[in-house]
Amino acid sequence: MFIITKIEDQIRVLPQDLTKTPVDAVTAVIEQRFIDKVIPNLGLVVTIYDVLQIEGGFVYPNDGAAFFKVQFRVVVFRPFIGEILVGKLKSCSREGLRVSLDFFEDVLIPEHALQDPSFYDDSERLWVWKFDGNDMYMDLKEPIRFRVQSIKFSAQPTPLQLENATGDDKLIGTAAKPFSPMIIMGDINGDGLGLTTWWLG
Amino acid sequence: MKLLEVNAGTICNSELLHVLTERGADGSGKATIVERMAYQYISSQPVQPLTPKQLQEFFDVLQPYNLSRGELLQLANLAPRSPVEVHLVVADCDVRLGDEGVEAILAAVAERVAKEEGPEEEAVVAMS
Repeated sequence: MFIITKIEDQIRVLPQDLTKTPVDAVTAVIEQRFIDKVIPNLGLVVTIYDVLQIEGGFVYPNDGAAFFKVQFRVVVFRPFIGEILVGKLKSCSREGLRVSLDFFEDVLIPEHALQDPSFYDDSERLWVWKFDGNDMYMDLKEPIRFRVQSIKFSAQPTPLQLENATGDDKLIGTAAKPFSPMIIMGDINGDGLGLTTWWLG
Repeated sequence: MKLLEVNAGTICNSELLHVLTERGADGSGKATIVERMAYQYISSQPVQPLTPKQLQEFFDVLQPYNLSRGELLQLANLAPRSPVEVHLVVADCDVRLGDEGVEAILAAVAERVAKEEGPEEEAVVAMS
């Protein structure tokens, strides 16, 4: 689920933080800049693993801050295709399921990737898997096991795109479905997949 | 920003738990929201947090079955309790492992990785 990535970056430490040790000052800046951010085509940075090398500390003209060239490693959430993960069912809609992994909420299971045959129950607003004559309801907040099909990264919309976007555009998103830089498409069509309670014992 | 090494290694959930605890994600220090959520997610799985030594022992026990790194990682992360879960993780399970292999994996998991099972007796893993 998680990989370690080595990054090198110019880290700017503000003058007021120069009383801290370089490692602490640099870690604080890295925290702000990287943690909880998605690196395009890589994944979501979850935490700092360690700081390998700090060089520099130069102060450039007109800027009182010190610049360090830092090599450090971060833990990135990046499941591989075909990996099996367990999350909690967050919401159901006609288009499919939305699964949450506490720290990552953008896992979508489209309706064609559900167990065969599954139907959307309008009254309960839940998906149901009709197995052997039994109605297996996919209740919310249940742990659900899924397989990663693909990961989609979208670039942040530029101001020009925002201006030209029509009302229904997926680009900018709405309050109900905000823009997600990283979306994981999953499937639960297979033995052992779906709600974990279906396959117990 | 330069990505020097995009994939410098995989880290399994137990190892990440150690890292997050050091960063104070368990409440003992100031950690960001995503770190605390990741800690919460890993702790809520039915998997026991393992020390690096225990993790290495678990992988050594499974060594004769020639599982790939990805499969070992998933076994350590998911702690399967039933054969169907092992089939999900291991490709070509019938051909490579057969029933005894699956049983052996489940035994190793139950003994070392799974949580809330109580102390199991030292089970001798049957190597076929």
